[in-house]
Amino acid sequence: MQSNLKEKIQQRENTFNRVIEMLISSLQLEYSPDELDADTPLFGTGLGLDSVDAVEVIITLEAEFGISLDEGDSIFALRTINSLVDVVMSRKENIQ
Amino acid sequence: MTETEVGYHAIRNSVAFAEEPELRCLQLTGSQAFEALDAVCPCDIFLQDGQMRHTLLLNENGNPFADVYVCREAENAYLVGYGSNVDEIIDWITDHATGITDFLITDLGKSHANLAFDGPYAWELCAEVFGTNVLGLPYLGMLVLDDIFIFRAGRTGEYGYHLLVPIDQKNTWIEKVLTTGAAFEMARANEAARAQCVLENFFFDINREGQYNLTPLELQLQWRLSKQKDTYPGAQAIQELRQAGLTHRLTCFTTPDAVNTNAEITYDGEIVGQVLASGYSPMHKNYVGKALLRKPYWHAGLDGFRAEDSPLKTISAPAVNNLSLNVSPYHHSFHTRKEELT
Repeated sequence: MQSNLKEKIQQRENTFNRVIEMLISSLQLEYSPDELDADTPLFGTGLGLDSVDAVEVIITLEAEFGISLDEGDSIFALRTINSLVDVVMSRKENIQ
Repeated sequence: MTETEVGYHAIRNSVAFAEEPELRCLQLTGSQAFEALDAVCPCDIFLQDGQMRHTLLLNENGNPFADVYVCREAENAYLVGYGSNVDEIIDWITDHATGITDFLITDLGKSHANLAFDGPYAWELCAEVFGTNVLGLPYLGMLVLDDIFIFRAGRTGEYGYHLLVPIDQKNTWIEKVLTTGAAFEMARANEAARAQCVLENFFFDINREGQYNLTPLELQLQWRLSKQKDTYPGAQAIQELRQAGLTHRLTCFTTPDAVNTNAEITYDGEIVGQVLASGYSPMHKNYVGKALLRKPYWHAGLDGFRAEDSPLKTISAPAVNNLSLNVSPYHHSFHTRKEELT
């Protein structure tokens, strides 16, 4: 496997793991990381979060990653775990 | 535009209507109706009145053979969804609800016809045709109005409603829908149009990836399984796979060219996966699809793959941003949409 692909995968996995940890701890989800799939919807179906949870995620995202979401961003950023990972990766580089 | 394009456009921008004979709807009555469902479904069955929950029916290998919602209305339970045939599902429930006898399964498909509505303004059309109670129905909610069963659940990423109307009233309701629908630029959506929307939104499709003997783990559908239950059909296979660890996973992708189902996906000449479904997305202006990719190639955000000489990259699902996310029954209307959404 090419080293740049390895790096990309590593960075994605690191970010994914940190986002998962953030969701589990801030929302007190009774899931282990292995039970949360990357494309799981956050609201409605999937994790079934509500608007109170959305506020919690937005606050924690700012505290944990220094990322603030405005209303327009959050509709799409909070669709799935992976879309949240995309936002973090697009705004923060080299997450270890 | 083709019939499929017209239907697709209506689903994504206004409202589309379809008769949906492939939707199964079973009503379970009796003092043990919920116990019977609890014995066969991999999700938790405690439901409030009018609540629906999305789950699957699994065979002993943990492979889904039906994509279903379990629902509660008063003391009755419902199983609504796609896959298999009704008689097979009824026999399967009866066989697997061991020791549970006080329940009766009724196929509502024999007495009712299913009308499906999808689109950012589906709620408005349904409210005009069937009454304003529709407006108060939350996502994954159901209600019964004068022998009409209304389920709010869709697979297109837009507002979605399934209505079961008595068969003898079907033509009257369709006439009313078509008359009222004209003002909403409503169109009929065929199966191809709806399947493309399902694909773009990465909803599970029993007729596509559901045919590959995958489990909810590979399909990224663990959220449809209970964390507490371990006795449903297929539970042991799921547990064994969890312990062994996954080797492949379903991932969303885009490519500029058409690729065939089952096409091999390579990276640097090495086979790393397979295309399970794909189709052109007018919204994405690319082909989008679902691939079964080997670990660790299964992550979103990677490019450099190839399928049938076309470049392919993995993306986070869903592949599209749905208009329904910006439309609210409390603030918007199809008739004033141009002023509201600019």
